[in-house]
Amino acid sequence: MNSNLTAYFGVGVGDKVEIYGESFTVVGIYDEAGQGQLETRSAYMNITDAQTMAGLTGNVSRLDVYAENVSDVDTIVEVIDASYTSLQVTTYKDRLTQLENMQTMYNQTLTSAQATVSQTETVATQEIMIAVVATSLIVSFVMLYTVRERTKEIGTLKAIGFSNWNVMSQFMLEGMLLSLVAGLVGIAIGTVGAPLLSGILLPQISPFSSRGTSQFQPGATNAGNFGSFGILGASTVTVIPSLQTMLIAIGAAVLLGAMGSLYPAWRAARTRPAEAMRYE
Amino acid sequence: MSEAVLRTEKLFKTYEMGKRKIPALYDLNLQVNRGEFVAIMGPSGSGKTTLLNVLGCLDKPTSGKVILDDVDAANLPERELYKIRRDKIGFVFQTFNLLPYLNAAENVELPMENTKKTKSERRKKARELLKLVGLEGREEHRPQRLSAGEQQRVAIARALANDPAIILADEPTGNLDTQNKYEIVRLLANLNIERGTTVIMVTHDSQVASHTERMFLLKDGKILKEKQGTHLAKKKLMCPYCGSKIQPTDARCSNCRKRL
Repeated sequence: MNSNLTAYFGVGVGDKVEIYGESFTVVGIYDEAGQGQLETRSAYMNITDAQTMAGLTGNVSRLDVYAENVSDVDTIVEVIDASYTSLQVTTYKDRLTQLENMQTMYNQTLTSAQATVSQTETVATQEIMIAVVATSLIVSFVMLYTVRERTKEIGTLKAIGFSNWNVMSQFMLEGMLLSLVAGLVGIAIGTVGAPLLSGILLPQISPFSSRGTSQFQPGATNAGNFGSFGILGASTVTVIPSLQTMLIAIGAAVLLGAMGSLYPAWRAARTRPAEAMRYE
Repeated sequence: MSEAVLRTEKLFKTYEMGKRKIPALYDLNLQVNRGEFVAIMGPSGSGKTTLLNVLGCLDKPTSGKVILDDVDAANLPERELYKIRRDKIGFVFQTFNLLPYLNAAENVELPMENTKKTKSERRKKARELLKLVGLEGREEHRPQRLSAGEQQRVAIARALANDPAIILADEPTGNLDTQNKYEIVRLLANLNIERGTTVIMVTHDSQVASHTERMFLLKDGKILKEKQGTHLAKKKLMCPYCGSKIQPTDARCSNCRKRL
Protein backbone atom coordinates (compact mmCIF):
# COMPACT_ATOMS: atom_id res chain seq x y z
CA MET A 1 0.00 0.00 0.00
CA ASN A 2 1.24 3.53 -0.86
CA SER A 3 2.51 5.50 2.11
CA ASN A 4 -0.06 8.24 1.36
CA LEU A 5 -2.88 5.70 1.87
CA THR A 6 -1.43 4.13 5.02
CA ALA A 7 -1.07 7.63 6.44
CA TYR A 8 -4.71 8.34 5.44
CA PHE A 9 -5.97 5.15 7.13
CA GLY A 10 -3.50 5.45 9.99
CA VAL A 11 -2.24 1.88 9.58
CA GLY A 12 1.13 0.09 9.46
CA VAL A 13 2.46 -3.26 8.20
CA GLY A 14 0.34 -6.16 9.62
CA ASP A 15 -2.66 -3.96 10.40
CA LYS A 16 -6.03 -4.63 8.87
CA VAL A 17 -7.71 -2.21 6.47
CA GLU A 18 -11.31 -2.31 5.29
CA ILE A 19 -11.84 -1.48 1.58
CA TYR A 20 -15.33 -1.71 0.00
CA GLY A 21 -16.48 -3.85 2.93
CA GLU A 22 -13.67 -6.42 2.55
CA SER A 23 -10.90 -6.76 5.11
CA PHE A 24 -7.27 -6.75 3.96
CA THR A 25 -3.94 -6.99 5.73
CA VAL A 26 -1.17 -4.53 4.87
CA VAL A 27 1.86 -6.55 3.91
CA GLY A 28 4.16 -3.77 2.77
CA ILE A 29 4.37 0.02 2.27
CA TYR A 30 5.92 1.74 -0.80
CA ASP A 31 6.92 5.33 -1.26
CA GLU A 32 7.78 5.95 -4.91
CA ALA A 33 5.48 8.36 -6.77
CA GLY A 34 3.66 6.84 -9.68
CA GLN A 35 2.92 8.27 -13.08
CA GLY A 36 0.08 10.50 -11.94
CA GLN A 37 -2.07 11.50 -9.02
CA LEU A 38 -3.90 8.19 -9.07
CA GLU A 39 -0.78 6.13 -8.38
CA THR A 40 0.18 8.15 -5.31
CA ARG A 41 -2.95 6.82 -3.54
CA SER A 42 -2.84 3.22 -4.79
CA ALA A 43 -2.65 -0.26 -3.36
CA TYR A 44 -1.62 -3.55 -4.92
CA MET A 45 -3.77 -6.59 -4.21
CA ASN A 46 -4.71 -10.00 -5.53
CA ILE A 47 -6.25 -9.56 -9.00
CA THR A 48 -9.40 -11.65 -8.33
CA ASP A 49 -10.17 -9.58 -5.23
CA ALA A 50 -9.69 -6.40 -7.23
CA GLN A 51 -11.90 -7.67 -10.08
CA THR A 52 -14.66 -8.63 -7.63
CA MET A 53 -14.58 -5.29 -5.87
CA ALA A 54 -14.59 -3.28 -9.13
CA GLY A 55 -17.35 -5.44 -10.66
CA LEU A 56 -15.01 -6.52 -13.47
CA THR A 57 -14.93 -10.27 -12.84
CA GLY A 58 -12.81 -11.85 -15.58
CA ASN A 59 -11.79 -8.48 -17.03
CA VAL A 60 -9.09 -5.85 -16.59
CA SER A 61 -9.36 -2.07 -17.06
CA ARG A 62 -5.76 -1.41 -17.84
CA LEU A 63 -2.48 -3.18 -18.54
CA ASP A 64 0.80 -1.42 -18.10
CA VAL A 65 3.43 -2.59 -20.54
CA TYR A 66 7.05 -1.67 -19.88
CA ALA A 67 9.46 -1.82 -22.80
CA GLU A 68 13.08 -2.77 -22.19
CA ASN A 69 14.16 -0.46 -24.98
CA VAL A 70 12.49 2.87 -25.92
CA SER A 71 13.08 2.25 -29.64
CA ASP A 72 10.87 -0.89 -29.40
CA VAL A 73 7.79 1.03 -28.22
CA ASP A 74 6.35 1.70 -31.69
CA THR A 75 6.75 -1.95 -32.72
CA ILE A 76 5.16 -3.17 -29.47
CA VAL A 77 2.21 -0.80 -29.97
CA GLU A 78 1.73 -2.11 -33.54
CA VAL A 79 1.80 -5.73 -32.34
CA ILE A 80 -0.71 -5.10 -29.53
CA ASP A 81 -2.98 -3.12 -31.86
CA ALA A 82 -2.93 -5.88 -34.44
CA SER A 83 -3.43 -8.72 -31.97
CA TYR A 84 -6.09 -7.18 -29.70
CA THR A 85 -8.33 -4.86 -31.75
CA SER A 86 -10.59 -4.18 -28.73
CA LEU A 87 -7.70 -2.61 -26.75
CA GLN A 88 -6.79 1.03 -26.85
CA VAL A 89 -3.06 1.67 -26.60
CA THR A 90 -1.72 4.84 -25.10
CA THR A 91 2.00 5.61 -25.00
CA TYR A 92 3.91 8.36 -23.23
CA LYS A 93 4.31 9.96 -26.62
CA ASP A 94 0.54 10.31 -26.88
CA ARG A 95 0.46 11.92 -23.49
CA LEU A 96 3.05 14.41 -24.60
CA THR A 97 0.90 15.27 -27.63
CA GLN A 98 -2.04 15.83 -25.34
CA LEU A 99 0.01 18.18 -23.20
CA GLU A 100 1.12 20.05 -26.28
CA ASN A 101 -2.49 20.47 -27.37
CA MET A 102 -3.35 21.88 -23.98
CA GLN A 103 -0.44 24.26 -24.28
CA THR A 104 -1.69 25.42 -27.71
CA MET A 105 -5.18 26.02 -26.39
CA TYR A 106 -3.81 28.02 -23.50
CA ASN A 107 -1.75 30.11 -25.91
CA GLN A 108 -4.78 30.75 -28.10
CA THR A 109 -6.76 31.97 -25.13
CA LEU A 110 -3.90 34.25 -24.14
CA THR A 111 -3.58 35.63 -27.69
CA SER A 112 -7.28 36.40 -27.94
CA ALA A 113 -7.13 38.14 -24.57
CA GLN A 114 -4.20 40.21 -25.73
CA ALA A 115 -6.13 41.07 -28.90
CA THR A 116 -8.98 42.36 -26.76
CA VAL A 117 -6.55 44.49 -24.79
CA SER A 118 -4.98 45.93 -27.92
CA GLN A 119 -8.43 46.54 -29.38
CA THR A 120 -9.33 48.50 -26.29
CA GLU A 121 -6.10 50.41 -26.63
CA THR A 122 -6.87 51.17 -30.29
CA VAL A 123 -10.24 52.59 -29.31
CA ALA A 124 -8.56 54.64 -26.60
CA THR A 125 -5.95 55.88 -29.09
CA GLN A 126 -8.67 56.92 -31.52
CA GLU A 127 -10.45 58.79 -28.76
CA ILE A 128 -7.21 60.51 -27.80
CA MET A 129 -6.60 61.49 -31.43
CA ILE A 130 -10.07 63.03 -31.61
CA ALA A 131 -9.36 64.87 -28.36
CA VAL A 132 -6.03 66.12 -29.75
CA VAL A 133 -7.64 67.48 -32.93
CA ALA A 134 -10.55 69.02 -31.02
CA THR A 135 -8.21 70.62 -28.50
CA SER A 136 -6.01 72.14 -31.21
CA LEU A 137 -9.08 73.54 -32.94
CA ILE A 138 -10.45 75.02 -29.73
CA VAL A 139 -7.10 76.65 -28.93
CA SER A 140 -6.99 77.96 -32.51
CA PHE A 141 -10.46 79.49 -32.31
CA VAL A 142 -9.81 81.07 -28.93
CA MET A 143 -6.50 82.51 -30.08
CA LEU A 144 -7.95 83.75 -33.38
CA TYR A 145 -10.64 85.54 -31.42
CA THR A 146 -8.00 87.02 -29.10
CA VAL A 147 -5.94 88.20 -32.05
CA ARG A 148 -9.02 89.82 -33.61
CA GLU A 149 -9.98 91.49 -30.35
CA ARG A 150 -6.50 92.87 -29.94
CA THR A 151 -5.84 94.02 -33.49
CA LYS A 152 -5.32 97.59 -32.33
CA GLU A 153 -2.89 96.46 -29.63
CA ILE A 154 -0.94 94.48 -32.21
CA GLY A 155 -0.86 97.55 -34.45
CA THR A 156 0.47 99.60 -31.55
CA LEU A 157 3.14 97.04 -30.72
CA LYS A 158 4.29 97.04 -34.33
CA ALA A 159 4.23 100.85 -34.48
CA ILE A 160 6.54 101.09 -31.46
CA GLY A 161 8.99 98.66 -33.01
CA PHE A 162 7.97 95.04 -32.38
CA SER A 163 9.15 92.79 -35.20
CA ASN A 164 6.91 90.13 -36.75
CA TRP A 165 8.83 87.54 -34.75
CA ASN A 166 8.35 89.50 -31.48
CA VAL A 167 4.59 89.61 -32.04
CA MET A 168 4.41 85.97 -33.09
CA SER A 169 6.37 84.69 -30.10
CA GLN A 170 4.24 86.83 -27.81
CA PHE A 171 1.05 85.15 -28.97
CA MET A 172 2.62 81.69 -29.09
CA LEU A 173 3.67 82.13 -25.49
CA GLU A 174 0.18 83.25 -24.52
CA GLY A 175 -1.41 80.23 -26.21
CA MET A 176 1.00 77.87 -24.50
CA LEU A 177 0.43 79.45 -21.08
CA LEU A 178 -3.32 79.23 -21.60
CA SER A 179 -3.01 75.51 -22.41
CA LEU A 180 -0.69 74.93 -19.46
CA VAL A 181 -3.32 76.34 -17.10
CA ALA A 182 -6.02 74.27 -18.84
CA GLY A 183 -3.80 71.17 -18.51
CA LEU A 184 -3.32 71.73 -14.78
CA VAL A 185 -7.07 72.17 -14.30
CA GLY A 186 -7.61 68.98 -16.33
CA ILE A 187 -5.21 67.02 -14.13
CA ALA A 188 -6.94 68.30 -11.02
CA ILE A 189 -10.32 67.20 -12.37
CA GLY A 190 -8.85 63.87 -13.55
CA THR A 191 -7.25 63.11 -10.19
CA VAL A 192 -10.47 63.77 -8.33
CA GLY A 193 -12.85 62.32 -10.91
CA ALA A 194 -10.99 59.22 -12.16
CA PRO A 195 -11.40 57.14 -8.97
CA LEU A 196 -15.14 57.84 -9.10
CA LEU A 197 -15.52 57.00 -12.77
CA SER A 198 -13.14 54.03 -13.01
CA GLY A 199 -15.43 51.84 -10.89
CA ILE A 200 -18.16 52.26 -13.49
CA LEU A 201 -16.01 52.07 -16.59
CA LEU A 202 -13.33 49.47 -15.97
CA PRO A 203 -15.29 46.20 -15.61
CA GLN A 204 -16.76 46.82 -19.07
CA ILE A 205 -13.52 47.34 -20.89
CA SER A 206 -11.45 44.71 -19.11
CA PRO A 207 -10.97 41.34 -20.82
CA PHE A 208 -10.01 39.68 -17.53
CA SER A 209 -12.82 39.96 -15.11
CA SER A 210 -11.81 37.66 -12.31
CA ARG A 211 -8.14 37.84 -11.58
CA GLY A 212 -5.26 40.20 -11.16
CA THR A 213 -5.25 43.81 -10.22
CA SER A 214 -5.68 46.64 -12.64
CA GLN A 215 -3.54 49.65 -13.17
CA PHE A 216 -5.54 52.62 -14.30
CA GLN A 217 -3.47 55.72 -14.70
CA PRO A 218 -5.45 58.85 -15.19
CA GLY A 219 -3.88 61.86 -16.73
CA ALA A 220 -5.21 64.79 -18.61
CA THR A 221 -4.00 65.98 -21.96
CA ASN A 222 -6.27 68.97 -21.90
CA ALA A 223 -9.52 70.05 -20.40
CA GLY A 224 -9.91 66.75 -18.60
CA ASN A 225 -9.39 64.24 -21.39
CA PHE A 226 -7.63 61.17 -20.14
CA GLY A 227 -4.19 60.74 -21.57
CA SER A 228 -3.43 57.03 -21.38
CA PHE A 229 -4.35 53.97 -19.46
CA GLY A 230 -3.18 50.41 -19.32
CA ILE A 231 -5.32 47.49 -18.19
CA LEU A 232 -3.90 44.35 -16.68
CA GLY A 233 -7.14 42.86 -15.46
CA ALA A 234 -9.73 44.27 -13.16
CA SER A 235 -11.31 42.88 -10.11
CA THR A 236 -9.73 45.15 -7.56
CA VAL A 237 -9.73 48.58 -9.20
CA THR A 238 -6.96 50.80 -7.96
CA VAL A 239 -6.40 54.23 -9.42
CA ILE A 240 -2.78 55.35 -9.44
CA PRO A 241 -2.28 58.96 -10.53
CA SER A 242 1.30 58.59 -11.73
CA LEU A 243 3.62 61.58 -11.85
CA GLN A 244 5.00 60.48 -15.21
CA THR A 245 1.56 60.45 -16.84
CA MET A 246 0.86 63.89 -15.41
CA LEU A 247 4.10 65.30 -16.79
CA ILE A 248 3.33 63.77 -20.19
CA ALA A 249 -0.15 65.31 -20.01
CA ILE A 250 1.24 68.75 -19.19
CA GLY A 251 3.78 68.41 -22.00
CA ALA A 252 0.99 67.39 -24.38
CA ALA A 253 -1.13 70.35 -23.25
CA VAL A 254 1.66 72.83 -23.91
CA LEU A 255 2.47 71.21 -27.26
CA LEU A 256 -1.20 71.39 -28.30
CA GLY A 257 -1.31 74.99 -27.18
CA ALA A 258 1.68 75.74 -29.37
CA MET A 259 0.14 73.88 -32.33
CA GLY A 260 -3.19 75.62 -31.95
CA SER A 261 -1.56 79.05 -31.56
CA LEU A 262 0.66 78.71 -34.59
CA TYR A 263 -1.79 80.03 -37.18
CA PRO A 264 -3.38 82.78 -35.02
CA ALA A 265 0.08 84.00 -33.97
CA TRP A 266 1.19 84.04 -37.59
CA ARG A 267 -1.93 86.04 -38.46
CA ALA A 268 -1.11 88.48 -35.65
CA ALA A 269 2.47 88.83 -36.85
CA ARG A 270 1.34 89.57 -40.39
CA THR A 271 -1.01 92.35 -39.31
CA ARG A 272 -0.29 95.55 -41.25
CA PRO A 273 0.11 98.25 -38.61
CA ALA A 274 -1.62 101.00 -40.60
CA GLU A 275 -4.69 98.80 -41.11
CA ALA A 276 -4.65 97.66 -37.49
CA MET A 277 -4.76 101.28 -36.31
CA ARG A 278 -7.95 101.95 -38.25
CA TYR A 279 -9.57 98.89 -36.66
CA GLU A 280 -11.80 99.65 -33.70
CA MET B 1 24.43 113.77 -42.25
CA SER B 2 22.32 116.21 -44.13
CA GLU B 3 20.18 118.89 -42.53
CA ALA B 4 17.02 117.08 -43.48
CA VAL B 5 16.07 114.36 -41.03
CA LEU B 6 13.05 113.43 -43.11
CA ARG B 7 12.39 114.01 -46.78
CA THR B 8 9.88 112.65 -49.23
CA GLU B 9 10.28 112.50 -52.98
CA LYS B 10 7.33 112.20 -55.36
CA LEU B 11 5.27 110.34 -52.82
CA PHE B 12 2.13 108.65 -54.15
CA LYS B 13 -0.32 106.53 -52.21
CA THR B 14 -3.39 105.10 -53.88
CA TYR B 15 -6.03 103.02 -52.12
CA GLU B 16 -7.97 100.54 -54.17
CA MET B 17 -11.63 100.17 -53.30
CA GLY B 18 -12.73 97.41 -55.59
CA LYS B 19 -12.09 98.80 -59.06
CA ARG B 20 -12.01 102.44 -57.99
CA LYS B 21 -8.67 103.96 -57.22
CA ILE B 22 -8.64 106.62 -54.55
CA PRO B 23 -5.52 108.78 -54.41
CA ALA B 24 -4.61 109.65 -50.80
CA LEU B 25 -1.18 111.16 -51.49
CA TYR B 26 -0.40 112.75 -54.83
CA ASP B 27 3.16 113.76 -55.78
CA LEU B 28 3.95 114.89 -52.25
CA ASN B 29 7.34 116.47 -51.58
CA LEU B 30 8.22 117.48 -48.05
CA GLN B 31 11.33 118.22 -46.07
CA VAL B 32 11.66 118.42 -42.30
CA ASN B 33 14.99 119.47 -40.83
CA ARG B 34 16.69 118.12 -37.74
CA GLY B 35 15.27 119.69 -34.59
CA GLU B 36 12.19 121.22 -36.20
CA PHE B 37 8.70 121.26 -34.72
CA VAL B 38 6.20 121.08 -37.54
CA ALA B 39 2.48 120.56 -37.91
CA ILE B 40 0.61 118.92 -40.74
CA MET B 41 -2.87 120.34 -41.07
CA GLY B 42 -5.78 119.75 -43.32
CA PRO B 43 -9.46 118.86 -43.45
CA SER B 44 -10.46 115.24 -42.88
CA GLY B 45 -9.78 113.08 -45.91
CA SER B 46 -6.91 115.28 -47.01
CA GLY B 47 -4.42 112.48 -46.41
CA LYS B 48 -2.93 113.62 -43.08
CA THR B 49 -3.04 110.26 -41.36
CA THR B 50 -1.97 108.42 -44.51
CA LEU B 51 1.05 110.70 -44.76
CA LEU B 52 1.97 110.15 -41.12
CA ASN B 53 1.60 106.37 -41.49
CA VAL B 54 3.86 106.42 -44.54
CA LEU B 55 6.40 108.67 -42.80
CA GLY B 56 6.33 106.36 -39.77
CA CYS B 57 6.87 103.24 -41.89
CA LEU B 58 3.50 101.84 -40.81
CA ASP B 59 2.34 101.87 -44.41
CA LYS B 60 4.16 101.65 -47.70
CA PRO B 61 3.68 104.31 -50.37
CA THR B 62 2.50 103.19 -53.80
CA SER B 63 5.55 104.91 -55.22
CA GLY B 64 8.12 107.50 -54.20
CA LYS B 65 10.76 107.76 -51.51
CA VAL B 66 10.72 108.38 -47.76
CA ILE B 67 14.26 109.32 -46.79
CA LEU B 68 14.82 108.98 -43.06
CA ASP B 69 18.34 109.81 -41.85
CA ASP B 70 19.61 109.33 -45.42
CA VAL B 71 17.99 105.87 -45.73
CA ASP B 72 15.13 105.22 -48.14
CA ALA B 73 12.73 103.59 -45.72
CA ALA B 74 9.91 103.19 -48.23
CA ASN B 75 11.77 100.46 -50.05
CA LEU B 76 13.04 98.46 -47.07
CA PRO B 77 11.66 94.98 -46.37
CA GLU B 78 9.63 94.39 -43.21
CA ARG B 79 12.53 92.59 -41.51
CA GLU B 80 14.51 95.87 -41.62
CA LEU B 81 11.60 98.25 -41.19
CA TYR B 82 10.76 97.33 -37.61
CA LYS B 83 14.19 98.50 -36.49
CA ILE B 84 13.51 101.94 -37.98
CA ARG B 85 10.16 102.10 -36.22
CA ARG B 86 11.82 101.03 -32.99
CA ASP B 87 15.01 103.11 -33.03
CA LYS B 88 14.38 106.19 -35.19
CA ILE B 89 10.69 106.95 -34.67
CA GLY B 90 8.48 107.53 -31.67
CA PHE B 91 4.75 107.29 -32.27
CA VAL B 92 2.09 109.19 -30.32
CA PHE B 93 -1.54 108.35 -31.06
CA GLN B 94 -4.81 110.19 -30.71
CA THR B 95 -6.23 107.41 -28.54
CA PHE B 96 -2.98 106.99 -26.55
CA ASN B 97 -2.92 103.21 -27.24
CA LEU B 98 -1.41 102.20 -23.92
CA LEU B 99 -1.67 98.53 -23.02
CA PRO B 100 -4.36 98.40 -20.30
CA TYR B 101 -2.84 95.49 -18.38
CA LEU B 102 0.57 97.13 -18.00
CA ASN B 103 1.32 99.99 -15.62
CA ALA B 104 2.81 103.31 -16.75
CA ALA B 105 6.44 102.25 -16.31
CA GLU B 106 5.87 98.91 -18.08
CA ASN B 107 4.19 100.70 -20.99
CA VAL B 108 7.23 102.96 -21.33
CA GLU B 109 9.56 99.95 -21.13
CA LEU B 110 7.73 98.17 -23.96
CA PRO B 111 9.67 99.62 -26.94
CA MET B 112 12.96 98.74 -25.19
CA GLU B 113 11.82 95.12 -24.72
CA ASN B 114 13.62 93.81 -27.77
CA THR B 115 16.73 95.96 -27.58
CA LYS B 116 20.07 95.22 -25.96
CA LYS B 117 19.16 97.15 -22.81
CA THR B 118 19.06 95.09 -19.61
CA LYS B 119 15.95 94.93 -17.45
CA SER B 120 17.37 97.38 -14.90
CA GLU B 121 18.49 99.82 -17.62
CA ARG B 122 15.01 99.71 -19.09
CA ARG B 123 13.40 100.33 -15.70
CA LYS B 124 15.76 103.23 -14.97
CA LYS B 125 15.11 104.80 -18.36
CA ALA B 126 11.32 104.45 -17.94
CA ARG B 127 11.49 106.22 -14.57
CA GLU B 128 13.58 109.03 -16.03
CA LEU B 129 11.18 109.51 -18.91
CA LEU B 130 8.10 109.48 -16.70
CA LYS B 131 9.78 112.10 -14.52
CA LEU B 132 10.52 114.13 -17.66
CA VAL B 133 6.85 114.16 -18.66
CA GLY B 134 5.81 115.06 -15.11
CA LEU B 135 4.51 111.71 -13.89
CA GLU B 136 6.94 111.02 -11.09
CA GLY B 137 5.29 108.82 -8.49
CA ARG B 138 2.72 107.48 -10.94
CA GLU B 139 4.95 104.70 -12.34
CA GLU B 140 2.88 101.85 -10.91
CA HIS B 141 -0.47 103.23 -12.05
CA ARG B 142 -2.38 101.45 -14.76
CA PRO B 143 -3.81 103.50 -17.65
CA GLN B 144 -7.39 103.34 -16.34
CA ARG B 145 -6.25 105.05 -13.15
CA LEU B 146 -4.70 107.93 -15.10
CA SER B 147 -6.49 110.91 -16.65
CA ALA B 148 -6.57 111.34 -20.42
CA GLY B 149 -3.83 113.98 -20.25
CA GLU B 150 -1.69 111.73 -18.04
CA GLN B 151 -2.19 108.79 -20.38
CA GLN B 152 -0.95 110.88 -23.29
CA ARG B 153 2.09 111.85 -21.21
CA VAL B 154 2.84 108.16 -20.66
CA ALA B 155 2.46 107.65 -24.41
CA ILE B 156 4.94 110.46 -25.08
CA ALA B 157 7.38 108.94 -22.58
CA ARG B 158 6.97 105.63 -24.41
CA ALA B 159 7.67 107.35 -27.73
CA LEU B 160 10.95 108.65 -26.29
CA ALA B 161 12.09 105.27 -24.93
CA ASN B 162 14.67 104.50 -27.61
CA ASP B 163 15.76 108.15 -28.07
CA PRO B 164 14.24 108.50 -31.54
CA ALA B 165 15.26 111.20 -33.98
CA ILE B 166 11.63 111.97 -34.78
CA ILE B 167 8.37 111.96 -32.88
CA LEU B 168 5.32 111.45 -35.07
CA ALA B 169 2.14 112.51 -33.32
CA ASP B 170 -1.23 111.72 -34.91
CA GLU B 171 -3.81 114.16 -33.47
CA PRO B 172 -2.18 113.94 -30.02
CA THR B 173 -4.62 116.48 -28.60
CA GLY B 174 -7.69 115.15 -30.38
CA ASN B 175 -9.11 113.37 -27.32
CA LEU B 176 -8.17 116.00 -24.72
CA ASP B 177 -9.90 118.96 -23.10
CA THR B 178 -8.55 122.49 -23.60
CA GLN B 179 -6.24 122.53 -20.60
CA ASN B 180 -4.73 119.12 -21.29
CA LYS B 181 -4.44 119.99 -24.97
CA TYR B 182 -2.31 122.98 -24.10
CA GLU B 183 -0.16 120.95 -21.67
CA ILE B 184 0.55 118.25 -24.23
CA VAL B 185 1.55 120.74 -26.93
CA ARG B 186 3.78 122.46 -24.37
CA LEU B 187 5.35 119.15 -23.46
CA LEU B 188 6.06 118.33 -27.11
CA ALA B 189 7.47 121.84 -27.66
CA ASN B 190 9.75 121.52 -24.61
CA LEU B 191 11.01 118.10 -25.67
CA ASN B 192 11.75 119.61 -29.06
CA ILE B 193 13.79 122.44 -27.51
CA GLU B 194 15.50 120.51 -24.71
CA ARG B 195 16.28 117.22 -26.40
CA GLY B 196 16.43 118.39 -30.00
CA THR B 197 13.91 115.74 -31.01
CA THR B 198 12.20 116.54 -34.30
CA VAL B 199 8.44 116.60 -33.77
CA ILE B 200 5.93 116.16 -36.60
CA MET B 201 2.36 116.58 -35.44
CA VAL B 202 -0.81 115.97 -37.40
CA THR B 203 -3.74 118.08 -36.26
CA HIS B 204 -6.85 119.73 -37.60
CA ASP B 205 -6.82 122.22 -34.71
CA SER B 206 -5.29 125.47 -36.06
CA GLN B 207 -4.73 126.80 -32.53
CA VAL B 208 -2.66 123.77 -31.61
CA ALA B 209 -0.83 123.96 -34.94
CA SER B 210 0.00 127.65 -34.50
CA HIS B 211 2.35 126.74 -31.63
CA THR B 212 4.73 124.95 -33.99
CA GLU B 213 7.51 126.41 -36.12
CA ARG B 214 6.13 125.45 -39.51
CA MET B 215 2.76 124.31 -40.73
CA PHE B 216 1.99 122.34 -43.85
CA LEU B 217 -1.54 122.60 -45.13
CA LEU B 218 -2.54 119.42 -46.87
CA LYS B 219 -5.35 119.13 -49.40
CA ASP B 220 -6.17 116.25 -51.73
CA GLY B 221 -2.91 114.52 -50.91
CA LYS B 222 -0.74 117.50 -51.78
CA ILE B 223 0.86 120.30 -49.79
CA LEU B 224 -1.29 123.32 -50.54
CA LYS B 225 0.75 125.85 -48.60
CA GLU B 226 3.37 126.30 -45.92
CA LYS B 227 3.08 128.77 -43.03
CA GLN B 228 5.40 129.98 -40.27
CA GLY B 229 4.20 129.48 -36.74
CA THR B 230 5.21 130.84 -33.36
CA HIS B 231 7.17 128.10 -31.66
CA LEU B 232 5.52 127.87 -28.30
CA ALA B 233 8.61 127.02 -26.28
CA LYS B 234 10.89 129.40 -28.15
CA LYS B 235 9.03 132.45 -26.93
CA LYS B 236 9.10 133.71 -23.40
CA LEU B 237 5.82 132.29 -22.29
CA MET B 238 2.92 133.43 -20.29
CA CYS B 239 1.35 131.16 -17.71
CA PRO B 240 -2.06 130.15 -19.05
CA TYR B 241 -3.56 130.46 -15.57
CA CYS B 242 -2.23 133.72 -14.11
CA GLY B 243 -0.44 135.48 -16.99
CA SER B 244 2.98 135.73 -15.35
CA LYS B 245 6.16 134.98 -17.27
CA ILE B 246 7.54 131.44 -17.23
CA GLN B 247 10.56 129.57 -18.59
CA PRO B 248 10.07 126.74 -21.09
CA THR B 249 11.72 124.30 -18.66
CA ASP B 250 9.42 125.13 -15.76
CA ALA B 251 7.23 122.30 -14.59
CA ARG B 252 5.12 124.66 -12.47
CA CYS B 253 4.34 128.34 -12.71
CA SER B 254 6.57 130.20 -10.24
CA ASN B 255 3.70 132.56 -9.41
CA CYS B 256 0.54 130.46 -9.05
CA ARG B 257 2.26 127.04 -8.58
CA LYS B 258 -0.13 125.40 -11.05
CA ARG B 259 1.35 122.58 -13.11
CA LEU B 260 2.07 123.63 -16.64
